[in-house]
Amino acid sequence: MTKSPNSETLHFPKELPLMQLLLGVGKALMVNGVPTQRAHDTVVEMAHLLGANEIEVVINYDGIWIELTTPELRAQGMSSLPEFSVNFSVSIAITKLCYALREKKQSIEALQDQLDQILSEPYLAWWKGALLSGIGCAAVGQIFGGDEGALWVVGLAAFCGSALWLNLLRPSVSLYAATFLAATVGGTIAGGAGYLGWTETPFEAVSASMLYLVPGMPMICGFLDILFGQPSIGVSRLVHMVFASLSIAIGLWASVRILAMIFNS
Amino acid sequence: MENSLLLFALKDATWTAFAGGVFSVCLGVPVRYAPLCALCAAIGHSLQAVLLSLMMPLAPATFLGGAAIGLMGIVLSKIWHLPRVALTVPALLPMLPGTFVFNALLGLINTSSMQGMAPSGVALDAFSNLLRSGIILCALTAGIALPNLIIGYHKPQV
Repeated sequence: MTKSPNSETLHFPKELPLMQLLLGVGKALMVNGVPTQRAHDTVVEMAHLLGANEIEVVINYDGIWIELTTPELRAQGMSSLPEFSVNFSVSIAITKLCYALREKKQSIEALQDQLDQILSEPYLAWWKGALLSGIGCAAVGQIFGGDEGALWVVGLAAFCGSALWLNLLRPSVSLYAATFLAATVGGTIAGGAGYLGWTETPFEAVSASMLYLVPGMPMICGFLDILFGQPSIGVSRLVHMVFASLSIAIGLWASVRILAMIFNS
Repeated sequence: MENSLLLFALKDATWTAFAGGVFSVCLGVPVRYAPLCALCAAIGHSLQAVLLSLMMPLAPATFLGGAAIGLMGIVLSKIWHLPRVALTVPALLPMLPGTFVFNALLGLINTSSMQGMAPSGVALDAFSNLLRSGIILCALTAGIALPNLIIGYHKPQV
């Protein structure tokens, strides 16, 4: 297994714990929402802290490739990137892990255990996520100028839409279809409440009830990726943002048509 | 006048801080760091609101509000060892031009569903709202990215 640094032998990640760890860190950061440059630099710094002499990291929109040279061997490894979501608890925990490594040397096995533990932490339960989305959107409804009725209407519409959205977020369902359905449900509830006179500010209510669907992470990270020399990933993130926004717009259009059919008949 | 402006900013900051904190937990930020996101959101949005009340146009006010969020994100992320986006993304959500986007979409729907030629006023309003939403979004994103460019990402950091 041990080769000279100039060996061209390809070592796959499972054969090399350091490679497995670095690929895992890069993949987790990219999938859970950090700019590409940050994921790149974190992997490079971790590799140096763990004894690598040289490292090359290439991150593309669908994969991460690493070539590293340690005193014993030279290895390459790659991993595909699944569709990204947003879970900042993972990127925060990995950042903390890297700071801890900088301050105190740790073994690769111990770091891998910690990474596995970070990735196995359960995400927020759907009902908690929906409840928080409802409360957050209701607060934004007040910032948009909604009346007291809008507070409750937005909260209810965002809760129902978000509950549907969070339950639809699984690999077998397209993210855009889930976004479209959630926007339709939220828009219909908020707009319907406006028709029924529960709020005097239906426009503000409808627009605030869809804020949890707005793809903020791809918007910011895409812009930063383009600025910091990763245009291909930046553009792919911005394209995702545009499609997600279009899904919201089409959902809104559908809710307007549904309300027109119900209340104009 | 000054007191009313202060009260207005405080009320705005309270709602925005609440929304920013709640959205941060939704996005997976641990609860102990939610106050930091709330602080970023409150400062960014209340700065935008105060500048608007001082008759500054919406786009530059949003740009400066976004820059305040970006700057706070850099400072707080260095102190607390957090990724910047975890602080800035929840804070920007309350600043999104939701009402403009909604009015633009509604105008477009009205324009497309009218029989024959749509009145130019309706189409013009829809287009104007769409353009304003786009400009505000660009101003917000550029504002958040600006401190990264100035203070910079010059050396690798975890």
